[in-house]
Amino acid sequence: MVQLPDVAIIDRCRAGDESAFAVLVDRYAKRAFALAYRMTGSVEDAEDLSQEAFVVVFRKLGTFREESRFSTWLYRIVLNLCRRHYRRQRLRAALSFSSSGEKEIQVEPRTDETPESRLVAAETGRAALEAVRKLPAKQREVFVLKHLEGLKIREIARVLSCAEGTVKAHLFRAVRAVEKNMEER
Amino acid sequence: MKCSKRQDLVLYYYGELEEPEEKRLASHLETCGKCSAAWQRLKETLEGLHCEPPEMPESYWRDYQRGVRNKIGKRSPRRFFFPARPLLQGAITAMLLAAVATAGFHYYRGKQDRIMILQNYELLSELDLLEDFDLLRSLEEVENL
Ligand SMILES: [Zn+2]
Repeated sequence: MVQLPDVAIIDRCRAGDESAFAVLVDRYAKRAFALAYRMTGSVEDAEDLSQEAFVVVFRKLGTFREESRFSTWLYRIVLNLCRRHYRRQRLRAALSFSSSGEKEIQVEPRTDETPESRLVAAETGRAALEAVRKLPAKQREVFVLKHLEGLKIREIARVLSCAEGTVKAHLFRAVRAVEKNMEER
Repeated sequence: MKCSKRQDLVLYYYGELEEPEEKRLASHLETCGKCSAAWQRLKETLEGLHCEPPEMPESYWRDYQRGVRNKIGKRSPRRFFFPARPLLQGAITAMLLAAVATAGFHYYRGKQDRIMILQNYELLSELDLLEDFDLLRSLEEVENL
């Protein structure tokens, strides 16, 4: 089953085949996790949000239209959950549920690296995550999808269901803001 | 030839320019000091920003798979793999209206006794409901593409 295309796997999921759903999760877990990590800068949140995304996939697979790619749909779900996550963080901060407000970005080092290379990786990773975090919501999404995920502008427009011109406008503003932010460092 | 716009440099960096424009820009950068300096700055900034998620061991992904299962089980969803029905949507809308009313009420009361609400967590869970609804709505949009 591992070699089957997405469409065939999704058909099996719809027929109630649990092992097909496991294949689907297996196939996309790393991508969903990476996107959530780049959006939140936290392994813990990335795990939780990307897993939640698969719960939504499970619940909503019956309404998924096959004209769009599964990855586009999944990206959309992850981003929606990240948006909700950000809103909740802001709400908690506003209602002072948590005294610290939004969590600081914690860059967790890879375990297989030397302390020196880990430091360099953490520093560059941190710079990217901090730059991302300072952007307004739409710019952040476009910048993560374009710069960190490497999606084409056309694909981003599909994920965010907006015009390509809108994606470009957000991208230009995001790059401008990132440059400014780097100059100030 | 006239100088390139900043925006074209960004598109050029990401390989998003059409071929004739891309070629034109590339040859312009070879001859124009000003544009090529701007290009170098942009390139350095963007190349310096990358972020790979930490690499997780295989055992992590096995637990991850189990975590997804647990979350699905915990949610005890009413429907698997079936499209939304109008009746269900009506029910959600009714719950939503009730939630808005209650949230408004608590918000008003909250002014008087904020701490109590914070302890109850009611407001937050109602907002969760609103957000879930929001999430489902925006997913429907993408499905209608
Ligand atoms: Zn020039």
